[in-house]
Formats: sequence, C-alpha cells, structure tokens
Amino acid sequence: MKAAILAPVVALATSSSCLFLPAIEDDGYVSCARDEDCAVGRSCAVDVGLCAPPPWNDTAFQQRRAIIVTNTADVALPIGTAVPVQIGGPGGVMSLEEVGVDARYTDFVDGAWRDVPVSVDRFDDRFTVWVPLTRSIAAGADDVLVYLEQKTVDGTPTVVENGEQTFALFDELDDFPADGEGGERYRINAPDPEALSAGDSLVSVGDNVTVLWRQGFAPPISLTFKARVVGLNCEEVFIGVTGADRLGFNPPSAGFFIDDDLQAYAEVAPTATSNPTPLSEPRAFSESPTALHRFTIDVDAAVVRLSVDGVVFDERSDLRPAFEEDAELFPTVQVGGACAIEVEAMWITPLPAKAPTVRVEPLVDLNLTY
Amino acid sequence: MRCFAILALVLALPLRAADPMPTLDGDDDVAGADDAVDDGDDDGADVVGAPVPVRTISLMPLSPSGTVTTKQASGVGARLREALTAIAEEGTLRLLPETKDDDKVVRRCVVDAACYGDVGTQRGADRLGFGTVEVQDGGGLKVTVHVTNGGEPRSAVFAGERADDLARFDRLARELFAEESLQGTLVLQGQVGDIVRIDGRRRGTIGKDGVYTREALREGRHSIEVRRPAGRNGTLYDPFTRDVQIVHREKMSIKVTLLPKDATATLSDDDKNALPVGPLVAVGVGSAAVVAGIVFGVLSLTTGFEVEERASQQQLVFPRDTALVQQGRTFAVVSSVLTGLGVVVAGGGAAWWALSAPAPTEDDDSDEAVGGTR
Repeated sequence: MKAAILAPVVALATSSSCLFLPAIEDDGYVSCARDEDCAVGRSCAVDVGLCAPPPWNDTAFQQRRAIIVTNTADVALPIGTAVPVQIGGPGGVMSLEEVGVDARYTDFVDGAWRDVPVSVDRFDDRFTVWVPLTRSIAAGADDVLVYLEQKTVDGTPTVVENGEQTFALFDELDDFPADGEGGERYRINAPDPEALSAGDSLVSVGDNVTVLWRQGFAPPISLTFKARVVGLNCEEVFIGVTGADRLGFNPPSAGFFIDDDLQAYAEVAPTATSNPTPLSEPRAFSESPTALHRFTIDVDAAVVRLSVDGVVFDERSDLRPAFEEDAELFPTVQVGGACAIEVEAMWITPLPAKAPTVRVEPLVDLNLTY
Repeated sequence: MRCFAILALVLALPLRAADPMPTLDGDDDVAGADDAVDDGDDDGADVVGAPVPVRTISLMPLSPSGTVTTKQASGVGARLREALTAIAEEGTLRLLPETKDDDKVVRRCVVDAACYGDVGTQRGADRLGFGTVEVQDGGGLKVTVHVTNGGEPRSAVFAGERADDLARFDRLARELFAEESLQGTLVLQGQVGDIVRIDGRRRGTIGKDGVYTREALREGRHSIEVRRPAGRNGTLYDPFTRDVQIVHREKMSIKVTLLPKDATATLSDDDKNALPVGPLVAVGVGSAAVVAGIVFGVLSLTTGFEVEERASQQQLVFPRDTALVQQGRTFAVVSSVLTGLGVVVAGGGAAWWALSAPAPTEDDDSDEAVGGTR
C-alpha cells in the first residue's frame, strides 16, 4: 500500500525535479565527481558536482577563447614544447579578424591565472603564435593549450612575447658577436671577416663562413631559421643541423642545400657514419627565393621533414638507419659561393614529427552583468 | 537520493498515522452473521426485561380522613383492589383476599402503624398496604397508601371517572407493589448489524429489517449505545449514545445514524449531512502543498533560466555561481516534495472522503430521528 503511494510520489518528485532543474548538460555542465570526469578545459566543481570552465580571469578582457591542443603523436609532449597556432591565412585556426591587437594568452593552472609568454612570428597575411606547453600532454590526449583573452577598453597590445621562454633555444641575433668570436654560444668560421656581419637584428653569413650554435638537441626537434638568401650564385649553402660541436660538416645532419640558381635539395645523414644523401633532385624552393623565408627542419627518429614557410619541401619518414635518440644536433648555417644568408632569427623546440593539432573553442563573451 | 530519503521519511509518518487497515476496537464486537435482534444474555438482576418477582400482597381497608365517609373510603379501596386484581391476573403478584379482621387490624394499628408489619408477616404477605382517603383540593378524593417492606408512601387521585381512575390506580398499585412491572418498549432503527448496548450490556444487533426492538424494558432512564464494526474499507464509526426515558406501556422509537469516526468531531446533530472534516483538511492541506510546490517550482524555474543563460554563455563558473545553482536545486527539491506530498495528501483526502461517506438510511418514519454523537 505504502509502496503504491510512494511510487507515484517518487516519480512525481523525480519528474518535477527534472522539470525544474536547468538543462545545462548540452552546454558542457555535466555531473562529475572529479576532474577526470570533465571535458577538456573544465574542472569539477565538487560543491555543485558540475563540470565548469574556470572563472573569468579579468573583467578588463571581455572575451576569451580556449585553444585546445591534441597530441597526435605516440609519445607525450613535454612541458615547454612550443606549439604553433596559426592565425589567419589558409589553415589558420582563427581569422585575423577574430584576434584583436589587444589579445593576450593566459592559462588557468592550479586554481590561478597566469600570463603565458609566447612568441609571435608575423607574416604578411598571417601570424603564428608559438605557445609553450604549461602541462605535459599524454599521447593521444588533448588539453587546453592556452586561453586567448582580448577586447579591452583601450585596445592596446597586452600580449607577453618572450621567445626565450617559449622555445628551447631562441635567437634573434641581437647580441651576435661582431668580432667574429663565437664564445660559448656560437662557433664561427669566418676567414674573411667581411663575409660575416651582424646588426639590425640579423646576421649576414657570407661566402666561406660557417656559424654553428653550440647548444645541441636530441631528436625530436623542430628547427626554424628565419632567413633570406641574398644573391643567386650560391655554392653548397647549408641551412640545417649538424652532429658535433665543432666546425666542419659533421654527420648526423639534415638540412637544405642551396646551389646555383638557388636550386635547393634536402640532404640527410642520420648517423655519424652515414653518408649525406640527397632526398630529391635540386629544385626551386620558392617562387621568391630571395624573400624572407622560414626554413624548418624537423627531425624525429626515422622521420625528417624540411619545410619552407610551412610548406613541405621534402620529407622522408622511413630512414634506415634512423636518427639516434641520444644524437646531438646543432643548428648550423654554412655558406659557399657569391651569396649570403641573412638570418633574422632561429628557434628550436622538441616538437615530434607528428605535430600536435590545434583547435579553438567558441568565443565566450563577458556580456552578462552578474 | 537524499531528496528521496527525506521524501520517504516524510511520507512514512502520515501513512503510518493514517494506516487504513481495519482494526477492531477492543470494546466492540465483530458483527455476527446472525440477524438476532436480542442476544438473550439478560440475567435476573437486570432491569432490562428482567422477570418480575411475584410478591404476595395484602391490602387493608382504607381509612377515611376529614370529611370523607367510610363508604367513600371503602369504594376507593375497592377500586385499588380491582387494579391489584388485574395485575395479579398478569401473574405479576398474588393478592390475598380480604378478611373480616381487616377492619380490626386497621383500628388496632391506627395508633402505631408499625403493627402493620406484624400483620403482614402473620399473613405471609411480602407487602401489606394501608392508607387513607381524603378530599383533594379542587375536587376528587386523594388516596395515600403506605406499604410495609416498601418505599415511600404514594398517592393518587380518585376522580370518579372509571377509565382514568383505573389507569391511575393501576399505576399506583404497580408503584406500590410491583414496580418491576412498569415496563415500556424501545425500538431502534439503524443499519443492519449495528450492535446495541443498553445500560452497558450488549443486547443484540439491528436486524435485517433495520430494526431492533426491546420490549418489557423497565420504566426509567436507560443509556443506549449503538456501535458499528469497522467497515471493509477500514472506515471507523463513532458510536451512537443516548440516554432515554422509558415510560410504562409506551414505545420509544429512535432512528440511529452513525457517522464516520472523526467526521463528527465538531458536528452537531443538525450537521450530520455536512462535509467530513478530516478529508476536507487533507484535501486542503494537500492543495496548499501543491500550490506551495508550484510557487517553489516557479522560483526554481526562474533561477533555472538564469543558470541556463549563464551556461549557454559559458559564464556559469564556480564558486561564484555556487549559491545560484544550489538555490535552484533547493527550490526544485522543495517544489518536488511539496507537489508530490500535496498530490498524495489531497488525493488521499478525496479518496477518504469518497470511501467514508455514510450509507443511506433505510427509512425516515421513526418517531425520533437522531444523529450520531461522540
């Protein structure tokens, strides 16, 4: 009898609770008991048992957007790995119009907000924001890379740019030694001092000059030279990595070789005993070879990929033998012939060959007055 | 889950309190299958239908007083003897014949009335009557008779009209010598199976014809109680109780209507057709709870809309909005509990009302219609 009475009461109470309780599951506010129950960018508010995004950082910024990174590699991405986020241009995760000049990048870590220093590589039609990971991301996992905050009252730039804190190695060549002595940072071979010049935040590497950065990195690496080829009659110009902290061309190595008429090819020597081998026939690496370009060399075990301005120039994914895990690779620029390489910047980060992908969450507007 | 636990606890209390399972009052008897009007458990000491003791009576000649002549007194005495003779024919008493010594006894005992006791004893009379006749103020003769081994002396008026005088002398004779023979009839009209108690003793049940008749009920005041066993639907009824005055040779008819228990708490006899209070209270309380539940539901919805708006904007964050969400949940739970309880209580009240409606009475032609009382 009591059960017969209780049943409809419980049913009524349940149904009316469902009626009265707000429907917010579709907006991501699902029940949870711990953070692991929640989607990316949300944590479990245990006092209400709901997954929720972090609280607003600063009401001076009226918009924010979570940028999510997915590690597609089969190894974890370590903290500090710089992840490129392209904004504008083909393949950009956001258009240029979606990112204001006052944008800044922040992260919510351990219950507190903090600015994330980034490095911005500006192109004519787009820019790439390199964001260092503030947390390790397991293989196949995704997580918040960074929050983009913008739309301030005054609209002035607020981004914190710091290449040194973004990359494992970042060099804008502002302090390149003018006397040709490399010191602890560089090894320089410049028999003709006039063939090497530095200033205006660039270094011009001329004929018969070699510049080697003395900090070595084990694969995986992603090395980018922001450089320009000056002249047309180059002879074995090398832009890439070599395998020893000494002058001379020391395998293992990987990089661009640029010859006469600015014909380029990729050459790889995976081990110290390997003979450097071209991956393809020489060809033009760009329609405007003397323009400013980003020459990127990605090395990851059996994979080597060379790109110019984000476009793959050559790639090999089945190197036999592969680059060894403990190999040390040193950024190197070597010039031969009546040409020069003007290097504006160089950076390197331990990105795997299977680079992480990036997506953005919908823009959140702080347009509610609470 | 906590909500349901509280809900169950809250529900358990009224359910237990209003457990409709039929129970038997320890003082009540279950209605029998028999239709016996009288259970026949009378005994000799009872005033209800008790056998009248047959006494031996001796009546002395009445003495004239004042201006009353001996002949007048003798005539009145003859009337009284005539009444006693009629009663004796019922077998209620045995009247000793007159003797030639009666006048001597009267003369001898006029000095000391105590000697009548000895006379009665000598004659083997249980009671011996003697008295006087005097002129009644306003006309007629007043007879005053004393009784040995009896109570107070009683008087009657002799007006000279035979029928009336016989009635008055019959009553006077019975009061003096056979008070047990003063009996009337009680008739109760009610629902079949209702249990009848008279002066605290079970006397029977209302018969198939809806009538309980008790004849030869001694004259005087009696307490009547009629009870109805709990119905199959668990309905309990308040007993009907009433003190009645039974008059010799008269029939007292009472129509008995029993009302469901508690429904009569504040009802008078004239309110027997009014709505029962218990179900009304239940329906009222339940309805109020439903209304309160709706109010809390609206509050909950209002809060819920705000929560949904913030959530849709991804602006619902904690701990800033913790109070808002918890308030909405509280309102929702309160609304659910109130609504649920309200529906159950109101529905239960309506069902109670429907199930406890009194059965229709069989007839209304009784001498006296009486409603139930507590």
